[in-house]
Amino acid sequence: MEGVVKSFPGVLALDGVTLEVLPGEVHALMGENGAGKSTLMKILAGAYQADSGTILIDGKPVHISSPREATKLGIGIIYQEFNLVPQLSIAENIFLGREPRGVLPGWLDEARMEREASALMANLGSNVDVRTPVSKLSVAMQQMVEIAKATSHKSRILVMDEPSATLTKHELENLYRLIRQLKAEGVSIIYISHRMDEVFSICDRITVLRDGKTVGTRPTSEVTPDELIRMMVGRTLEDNFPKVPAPFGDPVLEVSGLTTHGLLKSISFNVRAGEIVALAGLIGSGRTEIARCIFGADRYDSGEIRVQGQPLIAHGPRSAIKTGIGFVPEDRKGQGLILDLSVRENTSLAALPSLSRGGFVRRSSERKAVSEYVQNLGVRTPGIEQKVKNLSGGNQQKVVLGKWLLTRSKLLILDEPTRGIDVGAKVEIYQLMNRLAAQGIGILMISSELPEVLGMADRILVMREGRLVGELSREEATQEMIGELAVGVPVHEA
Amino acid sequence: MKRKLSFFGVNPGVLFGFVFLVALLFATTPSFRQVSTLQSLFQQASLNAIIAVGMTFVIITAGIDLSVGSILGLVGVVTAMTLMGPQVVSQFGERAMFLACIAGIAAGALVGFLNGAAVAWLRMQPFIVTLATMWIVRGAALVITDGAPIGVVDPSQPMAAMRNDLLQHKFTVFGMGYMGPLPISALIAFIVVILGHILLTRTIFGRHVFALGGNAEAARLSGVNVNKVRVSVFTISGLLAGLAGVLLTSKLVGGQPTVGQGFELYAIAAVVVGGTSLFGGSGSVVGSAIGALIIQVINMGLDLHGLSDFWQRIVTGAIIFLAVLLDEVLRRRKG
Repeated sequence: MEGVVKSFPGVLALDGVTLEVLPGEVHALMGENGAGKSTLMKILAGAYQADSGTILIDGKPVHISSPREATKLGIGIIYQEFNLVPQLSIAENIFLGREPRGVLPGWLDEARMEREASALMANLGSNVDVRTPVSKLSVAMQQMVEIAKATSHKSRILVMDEPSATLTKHELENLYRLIRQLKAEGVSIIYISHRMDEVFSICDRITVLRDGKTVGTRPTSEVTPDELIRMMVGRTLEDNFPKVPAPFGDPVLEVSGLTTHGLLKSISFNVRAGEIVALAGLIGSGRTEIARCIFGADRYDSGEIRVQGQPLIAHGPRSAIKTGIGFVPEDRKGQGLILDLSVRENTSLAALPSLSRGGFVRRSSERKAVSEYVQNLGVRTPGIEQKVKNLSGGNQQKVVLGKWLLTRSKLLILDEPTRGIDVGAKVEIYQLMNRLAAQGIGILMISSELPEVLGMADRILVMREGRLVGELSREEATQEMIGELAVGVPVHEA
Repeated sequence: MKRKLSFFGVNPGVLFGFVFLVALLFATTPSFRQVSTLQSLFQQASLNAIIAVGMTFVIITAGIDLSVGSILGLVGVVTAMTLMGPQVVSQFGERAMFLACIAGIAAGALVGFLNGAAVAWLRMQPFIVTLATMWIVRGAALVITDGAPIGVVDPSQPMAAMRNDLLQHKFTVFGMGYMGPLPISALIAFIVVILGHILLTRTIFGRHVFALGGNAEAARLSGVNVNKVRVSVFTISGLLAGLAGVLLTSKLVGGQPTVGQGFELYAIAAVVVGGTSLFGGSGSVVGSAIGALIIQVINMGLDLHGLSDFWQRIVTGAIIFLAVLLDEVLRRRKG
């Protein structure tokens, strides 16, 4: 792709981007959110048309006018957001739109479809029944189906947009194996990721975008993570995890014997004021379930939860909010925000009673309170009337945080607080966590990113299969210790 | 800060469309310029506007209410039976009129509440629930009356003179009376629109309606009592259909179990033409009222030009199609 320009009303999304990918190469595409990675890939996929610039495949200029055209040219894309039909089975999803024909016209060769789907999934290290509907699968498994679907197209160029975001270590190993296999077959892979460790372990070269421009392309062997961050952010980040320990107060949250018949087994722990406690563990180990039980989003079967010493009796998010709990969910767009509403409406949603009189919202108090938090949290938005769907991931996350600060939460539960957020904004979120802890707010953080857990938490609780299997202090914890506890066996370094 | 161009949350396209239509008719049709024409325009649009206000609340939560047309039929029956009940009239005299209004509105609200309860607590689809109640409520109105309208009674009946006087002369004030040059039904519709607008844009409840329609799960996790909001919007829709039913009873001088068929579709059309999204999360009560006026103006314009009711249907359909198309195009442009 040479000199690609794409503009949207009011925004120049791509400003002469050049990207060159060799056959059989794994090429990382990096950059902060909003740098233009997704736009560039959508042009390659035929979803958008470039305003100018050329795309050459095997040296020949091509015109990609539609996604169908892209598929014909051998371009396959695995989007971050899944394009799966939940009601259909794994096999039906993989072969959607190009089902193998049966003997009679219009008939479906189901046996063949299922056989081939099984083979594709087995190649990814999964021996799941391909007749299972996709809606029954975990997010990680859905990701595997998406990958199987893209590889089944026999693409020559395969784009993977943050394929690893939801995968566990074991599944990631399988993905790497598949990538190496595709590479050996001469397939070019464009790998979009925020994670340094992945980029360095699997990619041959790295191209960095910033503000719609190409910053540069480097062989992985000749570049360091620090240099990459500098290229992406345009400045040096002194410290990725600017942890400032705060003095601890009394417990704001005490959980004892929390049990759900499905998963959690007698979980007990506490979080003190000013303390950041991290829940670590594999996906499916019960971390998110604990958070949702505490917040009242899901039911639990036995156990007691106390907030600031008071037992939480009534069930449901409303009573949790009243006692001073705020919950920043993992799925920001699906559960944290109402995308079509403004920054103002989203920020004030949980605190409306305190901003109103007799059921009427006092609009001046609302504007004042929201503006104050928007400024305080450094939300970058043209104004508080901006719809939150137009903000970047980091700024959206700040709006969700603002919502819980406006209710004067004493305990914040942050589920994957920096997922899908670029490097610069991550540091801002970490700094905010420090400030909140210093104000005496207790924070319970769930994170799959071990560096983040080690960097920010005062105390780390490790979960495995619905049990708390270990508690580590900030001083003693290492990646290996957490990993061993989470998996249950000593891990040998990969 | 950039302020968006808007008039009570109505998107400018809807407003320009309305102004353009009125100007066009004004210029081309002499009979449109008469006060009596304008009076009947407002009077006829008022019922649909009132129903559309309630429908707007439901549609903003991403629901739909198909039962309002049948509610009109049931409410007509309940209102007329209360007004014409010999015991009621003998005991309360003229105050039977107010009892009739209250009974009619309460009947509408009750059906709305039941709709909402099924949607909220039984977790059923609004389309299915209100499709079912549409049949049930219509059937109930027919069963109660044995299919016959409730109107003027035979002079041999007890209290016949007073009952007939109430129905034929006094009660008609709501549907056909005037306050100065203004039709009373239009005045009532105007008040409903203003109250609806305030409720939707200025209160916590209104904010929760938008939040529920925008993202129910995020709303729940932000402490919004989503079931209460669901029940409330359907109750409002039923209540306003009840009010419209009372006005219709007054206008028709009696309760007919079969009236109001297809009114749910007129109301949905007004809401959609007024710029409220059927996907929920955005919309405006004032827009729906203007939508109801637009539909009425077009019908009246065609009427004045001698085009039949048959043609009016085709044009109404085309307007809905164009309004939604325009909305979709604008949305895509904005990206």
